[in-house]
Amino acid sequence: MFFIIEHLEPKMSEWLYIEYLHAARIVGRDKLLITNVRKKSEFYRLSKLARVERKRTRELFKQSELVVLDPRAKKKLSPAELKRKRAVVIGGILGEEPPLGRTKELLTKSLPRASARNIGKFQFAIDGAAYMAKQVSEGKSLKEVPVQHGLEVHISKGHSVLLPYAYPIVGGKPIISRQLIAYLKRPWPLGRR
Amino acid sequence: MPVERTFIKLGMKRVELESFLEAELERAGYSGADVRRIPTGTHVALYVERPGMVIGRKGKSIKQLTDELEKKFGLENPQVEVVEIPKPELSGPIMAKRVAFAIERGIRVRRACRGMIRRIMGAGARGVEIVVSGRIAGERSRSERFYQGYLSKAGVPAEKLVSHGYAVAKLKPGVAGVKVSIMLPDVSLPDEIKVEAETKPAEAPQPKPEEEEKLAPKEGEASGDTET
Repeated sequence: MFFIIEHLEPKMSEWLYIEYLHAARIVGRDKLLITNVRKKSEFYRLSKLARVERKRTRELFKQSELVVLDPRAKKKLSPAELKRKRAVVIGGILGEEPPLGRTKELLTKSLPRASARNIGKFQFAIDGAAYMAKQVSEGKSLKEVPVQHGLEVHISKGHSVLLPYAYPIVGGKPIISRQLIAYLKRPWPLGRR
Repeated sequence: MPVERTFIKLGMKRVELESFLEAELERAGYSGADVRRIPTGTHVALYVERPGMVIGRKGKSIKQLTDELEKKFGLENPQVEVVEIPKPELSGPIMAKRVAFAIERGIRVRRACRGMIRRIMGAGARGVEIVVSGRIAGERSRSERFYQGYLSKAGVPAEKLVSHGYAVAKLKPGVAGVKVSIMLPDVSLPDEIKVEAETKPAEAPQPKPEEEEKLAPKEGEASGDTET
């Protein structure tokens, strides 16, 4: 079973890189494929994390062998279905709140013969979606994986960042990259505005 | 017409009026309005930062506004009163607009919010919270929350004792929403109970020994209580 991230953001931001890195750690470097990476600099940077392809997923795989994770899909992802498929495709998109449905527009519509499935009613981060897909591929149903919606990261006294996404819970704690927390805490101009 | 529809219509009218006033008096630092029906017509109190801008030269602007309120919203004989806010730092809508304006001008979110919190707390507020949501730095959408002091979030105190404000900052990656909640100073919360010190009942003045003697029955004098 392959886990594919189709890179769909026009710019490779630090946040996106951290999420890709964490996804590679979750599913394993040899099982992750990042497609649609056109820029040379991004290609070299990402090739340290996983296998990288310039082509789009539809050019690399048969569409009938794929499952696309899309929050707007009507059916839920099930372990039985994943056994029959070769790869799971996750959109490399940094979401909005409320969601704009960019996965459907940019990914699902480009793979019309692939099966589109959701992993719950909330929007997941890329690494969280990869974790959920991995758990389902190992035979767990979506109900068996506890999920928390919304996460408040304490930055300093009197300052916190609210992330309005769903996070799978392991051992009572949500799955989030330590590097991302460090990135959120970093002051401008090194990290963010 | 069912009763519900009448109330919905009234609510819609109120929202329309509110958004009209907000757009019209944006430069005057509009904070809110209080519309009341009085025997002679409708009393409209406008709470603004700069009343001069609402009144205009020789009251030209206020006359125009009164006419518009009468024609557009059908207010009966509107009597507009302009009230100046003594401390704009304690008004949620004004501070939200200031934060949004600062972010639009390119000031860092953290710096703008921290500075604003300092000013609000300096004006005597009990507590404040500023939440900026959206694609703040062009990345994943998130909410940055800054807070200080005590702030009621639920129940009657959150409705009555907190000034809420909302504004939108138009940035290149998209719009960012700014929400400001200010807990006003010198407000008494329902759970703050004052127990006054117990006061002893005033004692009757003790008669002086001389007076006591005068009052006491002399020997040989018959008294009602004694047996004869």
